Parts: sequence; C-alpha cells; structure tokens
Amino acid sequence: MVIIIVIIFSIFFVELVSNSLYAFLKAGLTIIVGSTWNPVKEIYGGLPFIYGTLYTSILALIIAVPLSLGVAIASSELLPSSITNVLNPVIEMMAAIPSIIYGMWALFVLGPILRIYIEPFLSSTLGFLPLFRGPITGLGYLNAAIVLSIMILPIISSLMREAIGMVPKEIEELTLALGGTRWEAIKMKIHVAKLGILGGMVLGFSRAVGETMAILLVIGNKPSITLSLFSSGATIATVIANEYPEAIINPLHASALTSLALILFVISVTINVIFIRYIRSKIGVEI
Amino acid sequence: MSIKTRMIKERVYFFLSYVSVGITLFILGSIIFYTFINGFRSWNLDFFLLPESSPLDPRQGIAHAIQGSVIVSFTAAALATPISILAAIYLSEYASDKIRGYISNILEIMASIPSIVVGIITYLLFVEPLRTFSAFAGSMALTIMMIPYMTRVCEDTFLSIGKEYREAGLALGLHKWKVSTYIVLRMGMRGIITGFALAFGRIFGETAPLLFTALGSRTFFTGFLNPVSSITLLIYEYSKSPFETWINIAWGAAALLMIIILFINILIRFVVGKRI
Repeated sequence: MVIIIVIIFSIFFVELVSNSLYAFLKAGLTIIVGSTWNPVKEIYGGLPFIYGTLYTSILALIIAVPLSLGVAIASSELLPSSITNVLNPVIEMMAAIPSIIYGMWALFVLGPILRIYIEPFLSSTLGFLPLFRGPITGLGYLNAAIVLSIMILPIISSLMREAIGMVPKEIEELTLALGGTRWEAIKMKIHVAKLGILGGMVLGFSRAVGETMAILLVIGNKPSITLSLFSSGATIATVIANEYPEAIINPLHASALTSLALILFVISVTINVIFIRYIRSKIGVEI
Repeated sequence: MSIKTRMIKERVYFFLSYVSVGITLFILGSIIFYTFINGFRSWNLDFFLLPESSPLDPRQGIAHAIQGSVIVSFTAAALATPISILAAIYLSEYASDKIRGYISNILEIMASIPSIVVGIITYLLFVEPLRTFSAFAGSMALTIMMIPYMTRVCEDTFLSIGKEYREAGLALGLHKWKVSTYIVLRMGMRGIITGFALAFGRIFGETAPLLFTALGSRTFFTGFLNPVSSITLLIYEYSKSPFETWINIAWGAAALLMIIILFINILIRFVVGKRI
C-alpha cells in the first residue's frame, strides 16, 4: 500500500511536469515573469497571478495574525477553562466549514457590506493612499483577503495557543516575581514561543496560497498588478478554476495553466516542507 | 514607565485580546446565521426530491446534487479507507524508521497539494485518457485528497498504542500480522472511525477538485463514466448565476452542507470525545 502511495505521488509529479513542458518550451520564462495574460492572442504571462496569490495571502496574514494572537492569548491566558473548553472547539470548527460556504458568504454578505459602508468610508478618508483608490464594487482584493484571513484564523490561532501553552510556567512566575504585570509576563511567554507562533503563521500562509473556492466568487477574476485593495484581481488558483474547462481545446493554453499549477504546487510544497521542517527542528515539537 | 501606565497598558492589551475573540465569534456567527436564515427559507419537499429545472420553474430542487455528492464521496471513501488503514499499519508496525520518515514526508507533501492542483492532476490522469468528465474521475480526485489525511490520523493512532500490548500478543505466540489485525487494529478502531469521519467531512465539502473531473450535471446520476453534480458544485454554479430562484436554492444547499459538516464534527468531538 505504501508503494501505491509512492507510485501515485511520482505519477502526479511526472504528469504535472510533462504537461507543463509544452508551455515552458514555447513561451519560456514568460510564464513566470510576463505581465500580460491574453489567451486569445496566445500571450501567457503568469506574473499577475503569482502577484495576486502572494498579495492576497500576505494581506490575509496581516489581518489574521493580530486577531489570531488575540484569540490565542485570550484562550490560553485570560479566559477561565470553563469558557475555553467551549471556545476552542468552536473556533476549530470554523476550519471544518467548506470553503464554498465562505465564498458564498463573502459574495452575498461581506460584499454588500464592503460596497455600501466600508469601502466608501476608506476611500473618502484614506483615498490619498494608492491602497484605497479604485472602483468601489465590494469585490476584489480586499474582500478576498478578508475571507482568506477568516479561513486561516483557526489554524493560526490554535497553533499559537499550543506554542504559548508549551512555555514553561517558570517564565511567567519569574516575570511576576520581578514585579512585572500580567501582560508583561504574557509578553515574555510570547517571546519564548515566537518560533511556534511563526510556524502557525507559515502554515496559515500556505493554506491561503492554495485556497480556491472561497475567493473565486469575490476576487473579480481580472489579472492585474496593482496595490489597490478595491481592484479586481486573480490568483493562480482562481485562473485555473476559471479557464481550465475552456482551455482544454487549446493545448498551449491548457499547458500554460498546468505550468501555473506546477508553480503553485512548488510554492506550497516548499513553504510546507522546508520551512516547517526548519521551525520544527528548532523547537523540536510537532506542529 | 510608572506602574500606572503599565497597568493601563495591560488593560488595553487584555481588552484588545477579548475584542479579537469577539470579532472572530461575530464572524462565525454571521456565517452560520446567514446560511441558515437564507437557507431554510428554500427548504421544502421539492427541494429535497426534485432535480434541477429551468430557473423560472418554482418547483425544483437539489436531489440530483445530493445523490451525486453521496455517490462520489462514498466511492472515494470506499477506495481511500482500506489503502489508508493498510498503509498506516505498514508504517506503524513494519516500516523501519528511515522508510517511515520518507513516507511521512511524501504524505505531508501530498496533503499540502492545493485542491485545485489535485483537480488538474486528476483531469490529466483520468479525464483526458477516458475522453469524458465523469463521476469516476471525481471520486478519484477525492480519494487522492483523503488518503494522506486519513493515513496520518490512523498512523498516529496506531503509534499511540502502547508497546506492551504488542509484546503481550507476541509472547502468546501470535504471528506479527495477527498482532497487527487483532490487537493494533481493534484497539485503534476509535481512532480509525474518528479519522474516517473527519476525512469524510473534509472531502464532502470539497469543490475545487470536482470542477474539472465530475464537472456537474443537471440530471440524476447516469453512470460512473458520465458527469455528475454535487452539492458544492451546485452552490458554486448557482451563486454565479443571475437568477434569484437559483441563488435561493444555493443558500438552501449551503445550509444542508453546513448541517452535515457541523453534525459530523460535533458528533466526533462530543460523542467519540477524541480530539485529533
């Protein structure tokens, strides 16, 4: 059975590489560095999608990390165990909700809220920044980043909670004995647990990079390299989901999308395996 | 810094911490609330018994999608479960540490493949050669998603069983395979069931791997080599559509999916009482 798993895995890899080879041979490095994507004119530059993937994921981290840290501190340090016994499973249950439901919520609930209240407010008060310029539609990078951040919050906060929980009690007692406040003691603990906390962030990031369905409905699906949060965008995952069914008739188009899939595969595998292995070897625990 | 400002700082940070819990719960509540409020409105007998019809027809439902989801997911589970359990037995009972290390890496990599990439791989492997989108390809995609996750959970369970039990079995003169099946497998049953349920819940809610494998369909299941719909594919298609009727049905389907997923998770957490 293990042999089956190994064989399956090798077949995957060979299939992905061999099918993307055609596009790599034909278009060369344009697939990675070209900034124009126009299947009609047979120009396949994947940079906007790589940019979109990284931009949404980084934005999602910026939103999710402070929230997760707050949740982790509250549930490991502040709240009584009678509450956290309910709170922790409830937050972990968020991770089990299918991504298509997040996507639907983002389209029909979050989108209108952003369009009517939040985006007009941001653009009228902070509109001088390039971040908050552009058409107000409620869809685009901001919406996608918010949904992604909600989706990765449970995993980040539970890993952070575990990391903080593993810090020896003496650290806290020492700080308190030296006359520190409780907050200062918690800060010490966070400092000690920082590698584990970083591990949570990395894992959250890798989840965000590969996510498709939650953002497919709300990102706008228009390749663009821009800082504007209101602008439509596209990620590797969304362009594959959108164009692959039609691309099947055109071998070059399909192959270009497959090579984007290969890039996505390489990005997420690299983050997951190499970086997490590094953190794990540093702190010596399973995360 | 005087003690007063430090105390104020403490208050502020504690307050922010509670606020983040509040925000998180508020968002979760909002997702569940809107799904159920909008979803239950479209629930009626037709919704569960009829397949898709024209968007103008008030009498239609998601029966074809429920059927498709059940067929595709159960087929995947039936394929993935024995592979995962046997692989886990091999890894925990027979493999040397070195091999176990290698295989764990491969499983970890497999688990980290984004679901949309699994979709493409399955397309290349099973749709292109057979020249048809099919329920079979959809099941294969979900099988691929399920194996690494379930193998890992089962392996963890088997490894957590004390060495003494195995030694006791061997001391009684049992063969190694009997120790594996009669002792390890039996003792790990709870873990296997938990792993199965969690993995099943996960693949039941997957959409991306089905997009270009099962494809979606407007009718009931017509055979493993034909396209088939699923609850998740239906939610995606209908949410994109401009028709009010279909959007309402999508909410109804989302509510059903949510109930199934929450039910599985709550059952695992509070009845089996084991956290994985």
